[in-house]
Amino acid sequence: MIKRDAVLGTLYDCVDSGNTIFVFGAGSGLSARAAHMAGVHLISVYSTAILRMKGLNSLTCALPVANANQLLLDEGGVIVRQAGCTPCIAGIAAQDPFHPVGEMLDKVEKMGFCGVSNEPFAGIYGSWFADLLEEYGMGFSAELDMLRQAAERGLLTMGWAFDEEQACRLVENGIDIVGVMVMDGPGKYSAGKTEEERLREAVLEVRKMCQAALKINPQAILITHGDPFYDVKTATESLISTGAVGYASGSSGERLPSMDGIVKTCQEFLNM
Amino acid sequence: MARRYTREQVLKRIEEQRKQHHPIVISGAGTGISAKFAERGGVDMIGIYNSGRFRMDGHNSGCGQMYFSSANEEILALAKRIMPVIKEVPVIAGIAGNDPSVDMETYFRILQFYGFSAVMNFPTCGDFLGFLQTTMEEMDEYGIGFKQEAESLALAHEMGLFTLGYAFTLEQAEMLGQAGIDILICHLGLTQGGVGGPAAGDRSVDLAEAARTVGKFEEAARKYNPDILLMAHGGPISTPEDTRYIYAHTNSIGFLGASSIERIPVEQPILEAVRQFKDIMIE
Repeated sequence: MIKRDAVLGTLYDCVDSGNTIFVFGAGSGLSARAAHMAGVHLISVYSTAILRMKGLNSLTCALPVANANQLLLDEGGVIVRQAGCTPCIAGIAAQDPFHPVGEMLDKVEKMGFCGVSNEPFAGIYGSWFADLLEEYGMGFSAELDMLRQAAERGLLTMGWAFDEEQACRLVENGIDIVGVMVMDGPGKYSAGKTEEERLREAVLEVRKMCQAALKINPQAILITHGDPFYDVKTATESLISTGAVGYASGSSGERLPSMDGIVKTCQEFLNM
Repeated sequence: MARRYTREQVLKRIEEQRKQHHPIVISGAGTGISAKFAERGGVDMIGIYNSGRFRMDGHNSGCGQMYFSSANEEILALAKRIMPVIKEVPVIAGIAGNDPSVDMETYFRILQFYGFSAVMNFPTCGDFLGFLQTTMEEMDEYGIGFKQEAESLALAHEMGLFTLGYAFTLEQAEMLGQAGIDILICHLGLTQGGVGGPAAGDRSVDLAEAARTVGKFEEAARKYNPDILLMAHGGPISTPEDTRYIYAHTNSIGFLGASSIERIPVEQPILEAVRQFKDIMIE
């Protein structure tokens, strides 16, 4: 298995040489294999990705339609094997009453993952429900606790933050990679705004989160993600003078390219 | 074993209770023992759903709405455990009507085969206020939103099932009115008070405000379905006295109690029973 230090070494080298870290979200063995062939730095495997590569909408992950951890255990092994020597991290639902954190960490380690992330996250439910979950000990704090337990075992940790406070807590707790996430709901950004304005606001939000985190640790590895950053151009925007040093793809890396590619190929065959 | 009733039979049972000026009381059952004693207490309908199982296993009820299980599969497992102890009252299945991996028509046939007489939209995405609410239209577009929950209820209605729908907003109340469901449950937020519940405000003011909200929900739904029946749940309504106020000031015909019927009443007695056994000293 690839060790945490080796992965971190690669990531720091990448940043030092002025390159961008690229974390690829993979929900199928095929995606992981392709990403490995392309030489991505890290492959992130999580229930949302698995669902979206079944053709279901990524948001399905938030609904009570499956057990996120079981999905990862059932399908994650195949994906890790297809990733070859590219390091893989497993997205764990930290609050799951059926899969205690200790057991999940044992299992993903055995499956060949070199690290973990807090995916899925309570933050996806929005502040009202997420705050309630936090009150019951099932919110972000439970996720942070899972990441700390993983770090104690020497696993690589990637923590997702929805706001400045969460980004700071991740950095304070020594989480190796901190992902800053911007979700673009219609009520939040799009109401009466052009796509350019929405992108600019999302970039500002990324910048706020990054700057707060960098104040605590100037060496923090910060990466960006979110639906306003859906292609190379918009992802690049999320990195310009925000303080982030990398980008994590989701649908942008595997679902959209697969759909486009298959549709185009079918059309060509249909035109024979 | 629970009996299956047609929609008309359920409506007739409700009508009989109303004639005698009794409220319709529905309870959630996450275990057989909850169902058994709810029925002996004279409950009118029993709801079986994912959250009940989590609640009675000692977890937070909210787990039933999250990414820990398939709610629609869980009902079938729960039905096998709970249906055999129910004798006579109609049973409701709390379904995730927006589950994209389930063919609802087939699923409803299975539920009917299992003996369910009714369905309701719980778990629902209707109360994911914040991020998921801001993308509610998108959720509809993706086929996993409240619109799909309403469509599933409309389909259940067509198939002869009795239908109940939770609404959290006026817009949702309208959608449920259009779906032609039998009972609209106005959800007024989490039940205030008790251990872990949100703090109660000024109760008389809160109840008056709740009654006004119920009236608005009713108006929204009746535009499309003048026959729709009404219930209220949550917010400041937590005791039988609170429901008396709501009956007096709204057209609500009854109450749906989950934690208040099966969880809270057993917590303290179990704790006390253990303490009493433990307090005996062995000389």
